[in-house]
Amino acid sequence: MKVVLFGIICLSFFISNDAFSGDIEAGKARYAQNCGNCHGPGGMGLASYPKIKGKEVSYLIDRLKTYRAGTKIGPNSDLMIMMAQPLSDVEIANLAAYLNAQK
Amino acid sequence: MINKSKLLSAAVVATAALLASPSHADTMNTPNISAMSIMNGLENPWDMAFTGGGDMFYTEKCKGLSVKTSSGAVHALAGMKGAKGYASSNDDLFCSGQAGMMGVAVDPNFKKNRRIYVASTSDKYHGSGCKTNFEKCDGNIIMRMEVSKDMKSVSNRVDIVKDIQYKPFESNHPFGGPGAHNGNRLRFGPEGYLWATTGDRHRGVVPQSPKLLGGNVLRIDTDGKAHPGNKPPRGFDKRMYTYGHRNVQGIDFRPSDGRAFTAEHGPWQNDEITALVNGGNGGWDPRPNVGGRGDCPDKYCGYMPNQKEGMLPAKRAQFMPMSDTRFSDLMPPAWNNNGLSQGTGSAAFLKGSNWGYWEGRMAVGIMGIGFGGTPSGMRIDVVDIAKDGQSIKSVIHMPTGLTKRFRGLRLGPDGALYAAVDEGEIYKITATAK
Repeated sequence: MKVVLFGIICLSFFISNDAFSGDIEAGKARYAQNCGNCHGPGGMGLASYPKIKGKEVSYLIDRLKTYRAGTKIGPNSDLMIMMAQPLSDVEIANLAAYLNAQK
Repeated sequence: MINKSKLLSAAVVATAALLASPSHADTMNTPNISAMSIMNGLENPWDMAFTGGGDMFYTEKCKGLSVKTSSGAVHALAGMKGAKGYASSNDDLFCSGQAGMMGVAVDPNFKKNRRIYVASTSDKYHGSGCKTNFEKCDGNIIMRMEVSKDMKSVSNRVDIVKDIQYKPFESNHPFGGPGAHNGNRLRFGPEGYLWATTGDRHRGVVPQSPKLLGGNVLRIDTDGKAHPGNKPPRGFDKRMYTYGHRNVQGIDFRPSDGRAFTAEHGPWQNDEITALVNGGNGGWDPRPNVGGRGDCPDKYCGYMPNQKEGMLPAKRAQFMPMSDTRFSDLMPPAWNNNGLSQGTGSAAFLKGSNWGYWEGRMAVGIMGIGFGGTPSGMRIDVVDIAKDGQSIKSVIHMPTGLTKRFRGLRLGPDGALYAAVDEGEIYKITATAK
């Protein structure tokens, strides 16, 4: 019973932690399609576009899902809403994994 | 059979002749291009300016002014608020969003007077203004400074223009943060006067205003006074050479006739290159309730009719034209980037025989902005502008091998093109004619 419980806990950890579900390489490819134009190589931040590399996975996923839902957070929200709306849950997880891995 | 054989022989000879002759490109004297990074690790380098001896002054938007001397030494000269390691600090200079320390120019008589000019955002002259986005806000300035003989410090700062408009607060627009649209490129014209570009700062009434400095190209002397030959409409500020622009970040002077051309960043449609006319109107008028438009978010129609999602650029242009033909003093653009906006940020005419048949053409830096289906297009274009300045004859992409956000272009005294990119580097792009 203890073993089963441990297994369930481990499974729930992996399910809830998107760092383990995101595909870094797929995230890199998706990032290159649109995001890098403004946020720069590896999310370094350019001009008035913020640095997003190395951010926590949970933060990145929350932000992208918030934008995707059409909710404003800050002055460039209209741009991010436009960019985030086509993203799937998998793409968001991949992007978060890729950006989190950039140090 | 004999005829066929002769025909075959002739074809072989002709083909061999074609292969042996110089290529079409060779006969056109196309230059070989190579690009080399000469500085890296910078923070948003924005503009460069050279002395005749090859010393390069450069600005970093949120840090300040530095120089890389011809011997390769780097000296941090004038820092902004919070910047460290500079020979002097200027606590009134700050950065926010797109705003900060931007243009730099070297006095034509630098060898004698040691003067340079720098455009920056400053809170020194806010006075009783700047309390909302809908009032006068004097927040961009042009400074004159003197550089020490050892190139290690600057002194005797004089603010020669103190009332260029600035956006103090966030608004309901894309790119809507404080500090939007400042212009702030500085160049000396062939007549020895200083030309300064300004932006509309997301305020609808600014570009067509007779008194507010914003959305203009200014032509002034080195004390900040108007050139006596400026011909703005009656009642307008005499420092204005042109008005009715959106956000001019590129300006240079055609070597063949000295005429000023601007490269301007469009609102998701129509980046423009324009031949300036003394007193002319760029045709940008983002006020609500004019030109067939109704109310707009925060009294600025610049991103309408739909500022929340992509739409056909031509439809945007129809609703909110970059160059509105209802103005009789309109300066029509020579080029409009095929109706797209990808972010033209700077411009420099190519001078010297090393540029081959590109000599005299305009290099235009495109930062790359890809919204609503527009390809981002980070590149440098080489544009052949017609003599009358009303059209272009051709545009090609310079084969630099770089995909960067080209922020600032400047031709150096060595005939090379220098490019500042948002990625934190300055490139030297050399051309060798064949």
